[in-house]
Amino acid sequence: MKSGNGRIKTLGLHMLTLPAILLSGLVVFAPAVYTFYAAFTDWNGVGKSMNWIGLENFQVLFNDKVFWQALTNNFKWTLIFITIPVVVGMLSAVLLARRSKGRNFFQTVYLIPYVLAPVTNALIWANMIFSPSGGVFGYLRRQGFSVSSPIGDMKTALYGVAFVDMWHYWGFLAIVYLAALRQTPVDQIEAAQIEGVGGWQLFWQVYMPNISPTVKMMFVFIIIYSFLTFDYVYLLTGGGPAHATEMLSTYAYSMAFNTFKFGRAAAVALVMSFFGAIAAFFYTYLSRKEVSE
Amino acid sequence: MKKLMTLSIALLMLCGLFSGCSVSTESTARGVETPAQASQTENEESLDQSVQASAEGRKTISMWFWGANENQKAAFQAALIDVYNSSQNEYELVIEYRNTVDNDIPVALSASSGPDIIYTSGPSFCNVYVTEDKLVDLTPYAEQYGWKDRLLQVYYDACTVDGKLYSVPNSISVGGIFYNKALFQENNWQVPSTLAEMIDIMEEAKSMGLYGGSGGNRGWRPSNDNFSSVMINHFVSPTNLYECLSGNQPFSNPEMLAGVQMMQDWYKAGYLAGNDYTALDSQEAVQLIADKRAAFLMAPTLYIQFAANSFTDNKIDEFGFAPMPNLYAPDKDVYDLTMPCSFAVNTSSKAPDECAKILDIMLSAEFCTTMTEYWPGYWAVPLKDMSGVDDSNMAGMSIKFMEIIKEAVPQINAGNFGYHPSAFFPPVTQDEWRNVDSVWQGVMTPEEFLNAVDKAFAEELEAGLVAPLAKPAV
Repeated sequence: MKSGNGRIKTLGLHMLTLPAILLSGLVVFAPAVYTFYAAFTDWNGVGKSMNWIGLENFQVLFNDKVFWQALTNNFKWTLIFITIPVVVGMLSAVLLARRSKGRNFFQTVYLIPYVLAPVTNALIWANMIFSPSGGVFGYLRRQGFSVSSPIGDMKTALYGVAFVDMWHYWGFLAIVYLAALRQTPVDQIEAAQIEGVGGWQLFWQVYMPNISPTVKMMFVFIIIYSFLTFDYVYLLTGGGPAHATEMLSTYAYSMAFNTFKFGRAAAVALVMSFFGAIAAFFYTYLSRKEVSE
Repeated sequence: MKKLMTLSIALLMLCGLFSGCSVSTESTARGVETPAQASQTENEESLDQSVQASAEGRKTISMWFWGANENQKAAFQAALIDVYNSSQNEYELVIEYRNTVDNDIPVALSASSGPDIIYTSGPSFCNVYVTEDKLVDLTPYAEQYGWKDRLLQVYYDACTVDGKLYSVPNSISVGGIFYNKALFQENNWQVPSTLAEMIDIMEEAKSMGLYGGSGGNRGWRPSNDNFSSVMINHFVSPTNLYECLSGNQPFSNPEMLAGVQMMQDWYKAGYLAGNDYTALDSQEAVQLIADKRAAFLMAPTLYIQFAANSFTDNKIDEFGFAPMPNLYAPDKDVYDLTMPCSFAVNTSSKAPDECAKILDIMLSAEFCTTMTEYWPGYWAVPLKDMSGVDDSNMAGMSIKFMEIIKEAVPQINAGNFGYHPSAFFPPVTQDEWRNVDSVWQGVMTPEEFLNAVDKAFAEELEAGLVAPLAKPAV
């Protein structure tokens, strides 16, 4: 049984968490509940009336080709991001881990695209590189090369936009993986090296088990962010050409602000959250499994 | 002591949390980032003005506009803010420039908040606000100030809902063809009077390694409306579109189907910059004309604000604009009409009469004159009589813009006009129409496209979201 002093101490500790709980409640939980409810209404985002229409929003979505196009694009985006930037980031981190000189310099350079605002990155790529008028692609064309801007072609637009976002993101992954690699106990590495283990075996048998929690965590974050992705798609193509780069996020955005279908946009948001939640639950399951082992 | 400190720290943190709620709209707007992270609100000046207004004892009337550059802000200062503020001592007009104004307005209105004067990207957006009682009925002010007699009927009617005026248009913008006079001289091309002549020129341009036609929607997908509007209103008679928009016939009628098919053929022929359409933005599309790299750009005159950046110095005289030829009345100059934006009054405004005064200033020849001197392409107030617009001090692109408008107004008065989706289609229909690039890319057939437009329009017609239209004469 706690003494009075113990209760006051416990109360004090709980009070310290109150700002975070209130903030989460006001900024996260309350809007989430509101969005969940709005998804089942005909709310136009301007008036107060929200008439319950049940699953009608979802029925309209599931009958809309653009919705399925957007969902497919999100899956493609996820597949791209859980492979290419992960491999490039990990490779860079492993190479950097073996350097002692210049490591800080490289880390800084790798982080530059990540710290720049997406609008800055998008403007650089759209105007200075992809533009068939004034950019690198325009220059190559004027030199006689038969090239077209990746974001102008339906077949390549999604990969063009994904490339820009990967360029922005892989440096951050490299830094995260590097930090994890540096946590690997030196004695394990030395013991393995004494045994004659090197190269790929050293990475897989020694480093990987130590950094596996970090890798799994970043996998889950990548999956969650892939279903939330918006900035580069909106800035570079707006979901075009002809919905070739449409994402659930841009689809919801357009639905809300162009057609005042906020209820239906909320339904799209629930679909996005559903996939993110699957990834989060999977991560929680893996984490618990690791702890119990 | 330790426990007291712990409790005190927790309380201080709570206070810090709630202090953020006291920030005013203006200062919040300065730090806001949209999902697109394109927001760079520049309202330090407006906040300073607001503070100054309070200091002088004047009440503030607020207006939000999109993120204008310094020259454009100077235009507002000279043509509107100074004119209104010096006309009385009680109120001060303060304009906030927000790149995300299109999104900020509905969010603010949903909270029964927002500026006194509401900016929208067209009257079709106002219809939803009207159904939710967010906008003031401007009909009494229209009678007081004579707006109905002053404005072109087609523009006045487009801003009404159930016969009442709820917004006012900012400008005429007419569709046509941009071209480079020097390029035409070098190649002995004449301004086309038929679509066949226009195609011949574009094909010849392509054979020379140029773009047949320019265009681009990068960064602003609604640009699809600009190009599709010029094309459809000259491939299909505006009377057909009028009947569709009046609910008397479906969009998927044979003439419209043929027109949409023709748009697809033109896109595939490369008359909208071909595969570069999605990679070029509006400025680049105009730049191709200035650089003599494209024969034509089919676009509305609001693109003259981009042309002002491209046709500079000795290039100004190379700028050319002509009515687009049409298939149904070859002896007439027909212009598809739009308005870059419209303005309304918030029902939560405490000074609607003053807001109406400000709108009246914005519907005057003097406002049109000053704004066009600074900012050509965006502010040709849709007056029936443009003789009051003094172009004697205009130069460069400003005078060219005004010449085009003055030439177009008699044609509009004579009924030789068509309908741009952004001004005359209700919002969901407009959004479906914007999918026209799916037809251009071959993802959708013209039938599928027009059936989707029909479905959206039927719902909005039933909901009373379609504005009345003036009937064209072609």
